[in-house]
Amino acid sequence: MHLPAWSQLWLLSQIEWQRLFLTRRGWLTIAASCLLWFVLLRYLVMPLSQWMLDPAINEGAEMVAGWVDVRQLLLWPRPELSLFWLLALVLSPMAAVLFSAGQICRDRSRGTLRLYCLRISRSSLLLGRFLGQLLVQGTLLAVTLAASLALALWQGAALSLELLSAALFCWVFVMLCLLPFTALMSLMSVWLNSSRAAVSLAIVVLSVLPVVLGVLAYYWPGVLPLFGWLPGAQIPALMNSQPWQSWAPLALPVGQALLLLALSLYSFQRRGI
Amino acid sequence: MTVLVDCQGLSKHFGNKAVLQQLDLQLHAGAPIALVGANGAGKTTLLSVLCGYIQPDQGRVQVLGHQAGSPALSGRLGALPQDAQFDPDFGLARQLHWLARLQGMSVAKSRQETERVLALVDLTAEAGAKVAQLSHGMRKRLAIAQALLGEPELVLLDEPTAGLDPLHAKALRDCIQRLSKDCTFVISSHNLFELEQLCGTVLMLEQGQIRQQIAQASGAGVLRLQLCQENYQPLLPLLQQLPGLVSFQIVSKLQLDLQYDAERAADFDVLLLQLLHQQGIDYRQLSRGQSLEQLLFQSDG
Repeated sequence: MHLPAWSQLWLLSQIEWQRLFLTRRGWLTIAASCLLWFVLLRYLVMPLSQWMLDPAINEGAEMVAGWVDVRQLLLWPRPELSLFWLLALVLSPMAAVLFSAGQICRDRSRGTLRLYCLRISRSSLLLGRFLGQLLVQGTLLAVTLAASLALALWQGAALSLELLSAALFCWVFVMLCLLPFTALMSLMSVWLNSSRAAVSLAIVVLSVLPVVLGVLAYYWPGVLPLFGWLPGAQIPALMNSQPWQSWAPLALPVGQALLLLALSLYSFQRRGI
Repeated sequence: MTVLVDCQGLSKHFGNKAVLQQLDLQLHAGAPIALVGANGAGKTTLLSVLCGYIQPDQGRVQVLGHQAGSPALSGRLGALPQDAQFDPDFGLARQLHWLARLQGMSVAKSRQETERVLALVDLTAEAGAKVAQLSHGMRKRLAIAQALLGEPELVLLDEPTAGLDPLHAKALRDCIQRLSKDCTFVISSHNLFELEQLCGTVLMLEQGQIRQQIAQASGAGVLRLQLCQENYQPLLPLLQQLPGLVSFQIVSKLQLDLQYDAERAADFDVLLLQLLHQQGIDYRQLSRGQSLEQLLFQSDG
């Protein structure tokens, strides 16, 4: 009487998903997410998209802040979606770090992990939790994306296949970009005993690594290409892309996620619970 | 007899401290087995190794023919880990249902099992409540309930009655006695009275090794008499006249231990009760055999 591995993973990810809707912590996450995106859509995306809809803007469009090419954004079917794309690429990794910090450590400190590990392997537990976090983030992203789409329709866009395709692109590509961040938090959660410590270490890793590489590159320019291997390194390039333009930049986050997950599994197998 | 647990040369260190040292142990299916020892003797560590929660530094551990921690033990091994808590944000029944599903039960069977184990620990009325709303004792009973999901062959209980009120502690003892026909329990506890009542074999762990393994015998030849009042003085000369008496020892103001020749005087206990009745001496308890405390600590003086 054993549940197949895929059923275990599905059940575990469903448990994480239910946590979003059935617990106070989950409701707070939804409320914070909705509030943040309401403010962004209402006070940033709405006025900016109206500005971008002005045909005159096409003439003066250029690079903003050195790394966002407004000309590329204007090629999207609707500016609401292109602005959502920009914001999601920047904010979602941060949300992933914050929301998925307790994947393992919360249950380990409480002892709940011991109840699970009597029934399933540690690898199933870790992967199930990881998938659960992706399911949660995918849900939140879908809700906010739907709000952006609704804003576009409200501002006069016609519901077209092109619009829906661009929305689907946003969801798929942002989710792929989140993979290494969620996997990183899986590793931090295995290594550390609290969500707070996991978030702190993740912030240190994500902010110190580029600085260390910068210092190394100053003395040894040969290490410069390593910048391209950092989590989220592909995000600036993606910001200036159009829907379904290229899948190539996504090989990096997928590879990073696989590597981090392998490291998490190895650490989790060896650690006492 | 089926070997449930087979440990050979088991060692575990935490820093410089050796908690288990070259421990050899073989447990067979049957009556509940007690695991006793002082704080820090290694009881919880041993149970954690058996459950696969921690890896030993050295040695071999087989549980039900599989390596400890193997997913093949799912549903066959149940455990009450020390201080393990359920998620406070979810309901009792929901979490038990999840565990049962992960154990491989169908949706219908897991619901049925959830109801069964909740009834066993008298938590049916709280099935829908969140764990955060439960008292400490109720949480303990819930943790015991999960250990019984799916009727496992071996159940490891670490301090099962610690924190339980007397009523529920007794109910749990009754439950263990009832279930021990089909399942072997290994119980780690400091409550010798409880272990005496439940267990056929007692393992004493000291400095990371099994120091003693005691099989509780029928207790023929030894009686423990507990009186209601400190009035044994007039009884002593009369006791010496009882046929079959070998010796007696005054353990405390209210307790006497008597040793008798069980072959020559099989009805010694009856004669003793008659004597007490004739002398009008009230007694609280008369029990056969040495107490677990005596068995474990008599060599220490």
